[in-house]
Amino acid sequence: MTASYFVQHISTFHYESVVRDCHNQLMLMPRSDERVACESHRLIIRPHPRLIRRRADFFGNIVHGFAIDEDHRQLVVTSKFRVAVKAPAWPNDLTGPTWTSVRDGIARQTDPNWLQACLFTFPSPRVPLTEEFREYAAANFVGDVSLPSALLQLTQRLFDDFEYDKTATNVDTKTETAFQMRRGVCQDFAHVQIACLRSVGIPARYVSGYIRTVRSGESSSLIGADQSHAWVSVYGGPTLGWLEVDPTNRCICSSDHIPIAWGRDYSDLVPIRGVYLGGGTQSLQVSVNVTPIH
Amino acid sequence: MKTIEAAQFFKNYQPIGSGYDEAMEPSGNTLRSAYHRIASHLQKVSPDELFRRWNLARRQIEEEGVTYSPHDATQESIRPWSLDPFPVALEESEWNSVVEGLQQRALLADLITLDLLGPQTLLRERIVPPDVLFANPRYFPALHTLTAATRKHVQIFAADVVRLSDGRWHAWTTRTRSPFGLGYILENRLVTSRTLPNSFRICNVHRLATFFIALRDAIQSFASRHRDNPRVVIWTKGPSSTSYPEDTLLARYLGYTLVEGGDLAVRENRVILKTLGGPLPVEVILRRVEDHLVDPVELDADSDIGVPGILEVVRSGEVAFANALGTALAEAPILQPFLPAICRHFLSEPLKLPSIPIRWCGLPDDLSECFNCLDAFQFRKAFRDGSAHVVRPRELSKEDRASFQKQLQSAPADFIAEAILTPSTVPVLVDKQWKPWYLAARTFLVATESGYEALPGGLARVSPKAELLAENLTSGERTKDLWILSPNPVEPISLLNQRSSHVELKRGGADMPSRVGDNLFWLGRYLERSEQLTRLARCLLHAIASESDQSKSAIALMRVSCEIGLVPSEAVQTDAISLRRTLTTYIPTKLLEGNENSTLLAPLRSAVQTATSVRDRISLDAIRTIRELEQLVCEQAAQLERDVPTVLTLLDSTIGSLTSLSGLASENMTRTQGWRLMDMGKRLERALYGTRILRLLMTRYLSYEEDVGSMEALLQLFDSLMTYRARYSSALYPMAVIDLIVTDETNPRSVAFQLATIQQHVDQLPRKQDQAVWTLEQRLAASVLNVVRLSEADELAQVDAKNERSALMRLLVRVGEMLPKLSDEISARFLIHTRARKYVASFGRNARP
Repeated sequence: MTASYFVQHISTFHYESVVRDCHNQLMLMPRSDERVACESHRLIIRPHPRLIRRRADFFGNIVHGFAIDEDHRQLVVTSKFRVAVKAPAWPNDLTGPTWTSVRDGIARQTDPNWLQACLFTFPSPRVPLTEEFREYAAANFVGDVSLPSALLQLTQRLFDDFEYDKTATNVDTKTETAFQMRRGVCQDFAHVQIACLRSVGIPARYVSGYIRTVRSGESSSLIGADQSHAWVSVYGGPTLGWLEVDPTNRCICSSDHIPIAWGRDYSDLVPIRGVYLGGGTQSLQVSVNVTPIH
Repeated sequence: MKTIEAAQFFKNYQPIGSGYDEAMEPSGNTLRSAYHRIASHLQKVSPDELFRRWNLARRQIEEEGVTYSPHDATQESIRPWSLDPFPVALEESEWNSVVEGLQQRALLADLITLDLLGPQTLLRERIVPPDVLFANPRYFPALHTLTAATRKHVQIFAADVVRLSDGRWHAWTTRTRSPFGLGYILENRLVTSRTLPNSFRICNVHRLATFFIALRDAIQSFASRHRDNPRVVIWTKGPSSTSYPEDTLLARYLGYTLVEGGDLAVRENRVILKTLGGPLPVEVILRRVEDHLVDPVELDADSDIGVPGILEVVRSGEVAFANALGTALAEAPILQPFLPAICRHFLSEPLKLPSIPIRWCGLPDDLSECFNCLDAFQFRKAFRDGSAHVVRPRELSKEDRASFQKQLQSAPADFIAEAILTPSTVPVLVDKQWKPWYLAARTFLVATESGYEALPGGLARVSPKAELLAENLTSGERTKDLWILSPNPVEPISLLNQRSSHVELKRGGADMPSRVGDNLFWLGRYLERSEQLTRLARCLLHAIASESDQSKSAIALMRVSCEIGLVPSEAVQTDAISLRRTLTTYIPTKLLEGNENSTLLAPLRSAVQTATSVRDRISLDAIRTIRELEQLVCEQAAQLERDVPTVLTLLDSTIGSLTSLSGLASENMTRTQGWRLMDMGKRLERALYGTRILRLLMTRYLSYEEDVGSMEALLQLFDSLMTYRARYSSALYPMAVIDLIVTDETNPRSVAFQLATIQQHVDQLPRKQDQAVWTLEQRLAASVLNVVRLSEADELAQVDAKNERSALMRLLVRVGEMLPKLSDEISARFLIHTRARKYVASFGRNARP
């Protein structure tokens, strides 16, 4: 099933005092692949940078870099795009390779995709691998359970054990802390699940993107709507490829999930990051609109 | 040459039986040929004589200013080891075989970097485990996008080598990011070659300069433009880093500008150096900074020394790093065990220089072997993380050993295990006796068009305990120079007289980094402030010490001291007797109290600190004087006997040092922008202080006696008493005093003199050739000078009906308002952009549910 969307993401930064110059990097344009087709994209930045450079990062995500060297007290970044999204693969009946075979295929370097996948078994800046995560995951990753089934159980458990709480964590909260508190937002849910998966040897990556505001035929909103969202992509062996789950919403990802970029964790995929000179304290307003196109 | 006579030089030297000795054949009393060649010219030189010469040589080069911390008693500890007077020597033939192995290793390091960040054949073909790259805590995916296959990335390569008991040299650790030690090698060579000049000449010791010429050529060749004369900077981590002295020395020796992160910025896709004359593009950066800290936008966001946006410039090829970013990956200890396989993979040949026995504990077989004989190994982290230290289980207590075992078991992949080594020994003079100490040597190579060229020499470290050499480069107790002896005469060559073809003559120093200019400006201000305060304190104490009745001027001085914060206000007494009592006991104690925020000592401390951060820009004599000042500060703070004469002596020597600094600045500093800024700082401070004192002493008229006391104090503080007496004998006329202190442009202490000098300086600051109108700071400087020039001393001295000198007051208020504005404007225009703070903000962090 394919769905098309029009997405508009506006970030407005206000500064207490004048900013003399700033250097920024954006990850706001969806990467196109077999699941996602970005049909058009516009980036509007005010004040006007003299030059916007576009390039692909190591993972193939699209990065825009720009600098502003005139004095300003407000920076507005608007990203608008049209995109067609297919639902990611998922085995119908939870059958699939056992989780141990996936793990061993990577560890023993026998899986044909081991090199691409193994990067996502290592710790990364926001995802440490500790005994606590391994123990938590071990309840689902036991015996000969199939990987999709273990993954779904873990997703369910995280959803049950954790409380969605916008006030409990902030962007700098460590994944271990969020795990101990059993609270957090989509970023924390995703990091915790990735840490659990990697600590039992299963490659897992972080996906940033958006989620459709209202499901067709339903009136209740999904968590993460109206803002950017994050979920998890998991390697399920050479046949299944990468599977996507959303631990914040306890679901298998569908064409409701619009991916922008993927990497090891949030630190690889910060939507807007930069350094500025002067400015004092900053405040930020974000507005995201995801409109389905029929 | 007689063998026995040569051996006589190393009288009573006993090598350790089992190991390899660099100087002696195993038979016991035959010298190896290199040592024989050196010693045969030294038969008559006793250890005492050797030390005498060595001390002399050391002093000489200190005076020439090539050492790290010249005349610098307090900073002696910066140098991690002391230098031993006798070199380590190797015959060229033997050295060449080591060099071949090192060249191969340098090439491998370069290939490894390129491969890990590019095609990853090492991982793909399972030559190395993926941990080598992905488990490195300093791995950033952004590094993949920076490499260009066209040139070498490891420009400077260093390796520590040791000779084991089998007589073969082995490689120990590898440095591929920004190897440390070249500066020490230069220094060691200078001292040692002067200690043993005959041996150095006759034994055909290879010169080091060829290597540095190759290094300079290599660096030049990376420039994307202006290849004939690119702007090269050395990016140091700052005065507090261990490598700073070496960075300073290399910058001087190679002729590059020493910069910190704040001196650089990215503008329109170029890296620029912020200088007094404006931004100048930089082509090549010789960096000391770790890979992950260079750009807070794309790499470590917490880096406050990085240059935002610099990776974009690297990517577009407009600036080159040496060594290139990413090369740090190739120095991870985890690679060592895999080098033989890597070598076969890339070069289809065996490794020429073996590694010391080394294992990665991430491989189950190797782990169990290490576990079985834990005591035979020393362990270190598989990746360098800046905190690297070595664990030797055999030296640990039972509990620590058990806890380390647990650590190893739970994260074996984090460790590598090295066999505990017995390196070769060399003779070292300990208490005038030759003793065998263990040896490790750091070697250096530089990339050339055809391969790698080795430095014919190195940094030899020696220690009586072999384990002590293991920690890092600064471990070990002494260093030695390393001499490579050629069978044939060698060309004398020096970096300094090379390239005689054409030199562009330079003046002015407009390309000085703004940060340095800022520091010099403030150095001038702090020094002047200290001098004024010390003078005030001295006048005050003199008033106490002298027997003549100067109580009126003493009271005036006291008032000023209180206002300025030199002494607490409760000290002010009006009657002469209690005043005298206060002065003799209370003041000397109070002056030096509260060391940290003492009004008297604080600016002196700031001056010493500022001077330290620009010590590569000021003369050695000035540095020496500043060190004396620092000593004085410490002494003053620690002074327990705080009676008037003791404190006076200290103040006298402080003023002496401060004046000699001013003298040095005016006689020995070239009139560059740096000097100009320093002098401007001094003048500004003096004028500001002068107006303040004048306001305190002269604007109110109390009585004739009070006024005379004030004038006397004023003349003392402005050091103008002699001039006044010469002109007007002893009677004090307010008009004459005010003229001498305020409006007389011939008196170097007067306000007008300061303002006139400032105005000249401001005009000379770098600005555009075609500038049509005066800039704000030019207008300010001219108008403040004119305000004073247009005043009449007669009018200024008039006392009005309210007993005030209102004309003087008005003038002082105006000058007092304009000067800070002028100072701010100069800072803003030429200096301040280096001080603006950076706020690192990962913007998107808030933009999430």
